[in-house]
Amino acid sequence: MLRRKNQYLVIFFVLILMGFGCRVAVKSVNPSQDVRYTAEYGYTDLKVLSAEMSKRILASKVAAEEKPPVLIVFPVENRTSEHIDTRALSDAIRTELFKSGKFQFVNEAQRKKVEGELNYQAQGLISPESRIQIGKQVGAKYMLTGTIISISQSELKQVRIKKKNLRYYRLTLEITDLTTNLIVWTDEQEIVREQSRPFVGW
Amino acid sequence: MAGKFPLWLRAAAVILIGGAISGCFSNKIVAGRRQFYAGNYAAAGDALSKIKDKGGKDHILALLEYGASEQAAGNYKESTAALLDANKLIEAEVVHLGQQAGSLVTNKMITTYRPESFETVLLHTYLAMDYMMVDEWSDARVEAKQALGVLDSLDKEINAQPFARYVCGLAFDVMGDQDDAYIEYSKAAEAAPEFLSVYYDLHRLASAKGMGQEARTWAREIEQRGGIVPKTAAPPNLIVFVGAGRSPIKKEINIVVPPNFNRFVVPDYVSSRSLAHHAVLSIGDRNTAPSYMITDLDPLAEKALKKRIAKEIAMETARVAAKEVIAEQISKQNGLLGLVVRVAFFASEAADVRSWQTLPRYFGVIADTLPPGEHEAKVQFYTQDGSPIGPAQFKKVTITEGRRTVLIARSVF
Repeated sequence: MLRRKNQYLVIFFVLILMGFGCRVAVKSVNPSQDVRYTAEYGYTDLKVLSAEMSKRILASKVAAEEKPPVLIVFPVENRTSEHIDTRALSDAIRTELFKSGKFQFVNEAQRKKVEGELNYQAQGLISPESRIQIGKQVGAKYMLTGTIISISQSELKQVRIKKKNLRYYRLTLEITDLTTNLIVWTDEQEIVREQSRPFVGW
Repeated sequence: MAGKFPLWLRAAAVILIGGAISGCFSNKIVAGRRQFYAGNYAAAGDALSKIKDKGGKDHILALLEYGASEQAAGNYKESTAALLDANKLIEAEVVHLGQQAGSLVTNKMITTYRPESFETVLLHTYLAMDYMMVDEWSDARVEAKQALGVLDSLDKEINAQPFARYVCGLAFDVMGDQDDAYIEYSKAAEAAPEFLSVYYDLHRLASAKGMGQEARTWAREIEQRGGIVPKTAAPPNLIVFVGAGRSPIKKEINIVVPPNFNRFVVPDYVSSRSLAHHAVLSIGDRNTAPSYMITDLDPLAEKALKKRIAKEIAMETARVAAKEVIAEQISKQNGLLGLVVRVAFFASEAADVRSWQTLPRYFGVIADTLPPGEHEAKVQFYTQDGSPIGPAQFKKVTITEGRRTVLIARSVF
């Protein structure tokens, strides 16, 4: 009798544990918190790289000009072996710089839409007093460009239960003076990360 | 009755039954392939879409077949998503001890499918092609780098894959990485010496990089193959990737060893038939030179399997030995049950014959230069004796100044 009771107890606890295991869990995570599931580029890297590089640009001579210079920001070129949304990185840097008030920006990403809207307005459907005058756009004085590269190294094939993988990322940014084509500022930021991944599992 | 047997024997019986059930190959994958080889690429995609998110041991395979079907149907975004998912699963895959233990008393078909090395290279090559089709060359370069990461880790006899190298070279070329493009084009030319259009690329890049001696060498190679050395260094603006026939499929080799009739099985590739020998691109009434079929998957698959056959045989020997020990132990306690188990073990033995079967047997390339504007391109496949095979494929082509346009033409014949 006691044995059967124990069996029922074990089944009961197993069912409870299974219930917990199957429950969908959702929680909010602080965006500033460093969360990583793999060694690959993630949102924390986006935040770290954009914050650090914006800080350095703001400390440069270009940011110290009396009148906020006009900057055009091109997407960072992805030269890694991962699919990275580098426009998100450029956008994040631009947002940081914009908030500082030390730069003005021309909208490189929306040029086609701007052109389309101006063409629409020029068709005569818009009243003359509210129509945008053509030829008044502001030209950029500086251009912000960059590249991100990655180098990956893995441990050699051997009999082991875990495999280590090293990932190195380097973001290089540069500001070019469009009048002289001289690079007036450049800097880089590195990230190195090691991942240890099991070979075996259930 | 059950109480007479130790727990491990009962557990083995459970694994045997479970394994025999789960070892069945998905019928939906077979149905999808049947549609694909009937030329109904969209229907193949529909059939495979029902299982592509279902998980399980054949999940990667379902995604690969789905990705290839969607690419052939012209749905490049869907193809990309499926192939990226497949790649994620391949990268995250671990050796499942439970599956491996189960496979010791059943067969390897119960384990998670892992593609052959050349299939992994082609997964990245297909992804690069998908990205090129939607004009996302930066992502195509990412895939090229991943393909080369796999290719360069392989032994020499299986890393000479001229089609994959050419696709990688093209991604680098368009992105302005001339050095990387030059290296990959050179390797493609080395592995497929009759691939004329790659010599034009090599000549163009050598000239652009100021490598006079090399440029002259490539010019000679062009002339030796009946080509005319161009005076201007403009790249071709239309590239057609051609795939023909059916990839080699795996079959099972059976060996029955007396006195206990232990059955050994190992996989082997069977040559697939491809009637299509080359393709011709026509723009209006102008025909290009025939495509060069630069990669034949048949010998490549054979070599890839040969590289790991010793491991397969060792695993199979361990499996047969484990089954023999179990059968022997059961026979000692109950002769009839022992016989039943032996028969079950014999019947459950199966080689892992899974492979990515919507791949073609041959890959080729056609390169052409067209004036900017809209064109109607016709791709017709031909047999070796020059008879047309399969319907002609008509594709709208938009050529833009200074840009490369890519087409994919697939024949199942």
